[in-house]
Amino acid sequence: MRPRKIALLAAAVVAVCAGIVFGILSRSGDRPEIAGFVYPEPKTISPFKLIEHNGSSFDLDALKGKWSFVYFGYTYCPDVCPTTLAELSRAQELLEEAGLDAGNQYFFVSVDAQRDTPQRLAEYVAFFDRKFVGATGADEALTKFTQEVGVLYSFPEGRKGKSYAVDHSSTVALFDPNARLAAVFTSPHKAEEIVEGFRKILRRRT
Amino acid sequence: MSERNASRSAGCLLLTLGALIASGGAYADGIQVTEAWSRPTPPGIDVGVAYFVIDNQGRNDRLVGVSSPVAKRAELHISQMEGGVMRMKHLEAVEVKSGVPTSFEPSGRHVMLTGLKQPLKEGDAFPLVLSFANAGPVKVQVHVRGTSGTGEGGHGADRSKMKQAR
Repeated sequence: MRPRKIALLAAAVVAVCAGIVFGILSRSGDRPEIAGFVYPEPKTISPFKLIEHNGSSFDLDALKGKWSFVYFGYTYCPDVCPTTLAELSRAQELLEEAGLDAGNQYFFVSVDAQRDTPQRLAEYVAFFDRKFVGATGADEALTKFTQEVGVLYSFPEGRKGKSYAVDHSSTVALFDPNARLAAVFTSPHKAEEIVEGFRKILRRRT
Repeated sequence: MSERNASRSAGCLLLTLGALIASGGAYADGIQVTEAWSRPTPPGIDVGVAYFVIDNQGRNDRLVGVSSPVAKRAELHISQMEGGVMRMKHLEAVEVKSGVPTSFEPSGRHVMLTGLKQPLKEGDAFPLVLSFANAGPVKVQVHVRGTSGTGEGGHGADRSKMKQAR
């Protein structure tokens, strides 16, 4: 008798737990799961002003009207940045093949304005993808923008000489065509995961 | 029967040797370094990277140094995620355990080359010398693949696309 009671109790506990888990899962059903984080409501960003590698302003207006993938890093970065930019370039190509690229733009924001002049950025981003646009700006402007996007960076050895390293969040931020932060993809990045995540986010909006 | 086995073994050995030669692997004292590859460097950038896999069929060893004639300096580094931030750290040495492959791969352990004497171009190969505490120096040829080379399966260059604005 007793083992049976225990079994029943166990079954009841399992059922309740399953119910809770199911409830949580179905509640988050309207928020797509991606290799990163989707904002429940796209986040409005305060006005900011950086400069694109071609000299035009990189600001809220530049983000409007298109989906924008924005990656943060620096050009002297030997490992993580080239790896991510190569994956983002591959994602761009996959999206183009799927007919999902025409309404997109892709930015590389350097948090290392001291070394990454607009001219250097122009050469650097073109090396990875013809659609990539480089951007950077003054320290205060960079700090303000990155903080709002949840990107951190620091110079652990200072900024002396030519070969200092930069610690930075290796996230790809996705802004919607209203210049609101819709999602962030977190490292390590895979082109296929970015594409799949973007498809899910698009599906949610339609 | 045993003759057939013997010829099979010989075949396997030949295949293995062939594979080693084909993959540009370097072999010394139980240490085998394969899949050595790098990325082409963007214009004006004199830092580069090298990735590879170390297989150690000998006794436990340590990778204690690295050098290449193409760069002023080569260092063992690791990219590590800490509190949402990617940090690059210098490693003094890397343990290379017997029987366990030690991978140097994107967004992880890598060799950082600084002060490159000339840009690394797709299709190039350059020598890299890995110094082990027990096995001594092991020289390996590093192949420069396309920007999109991921190092998986050794076909990075085949899948690569160079979308350079020329």
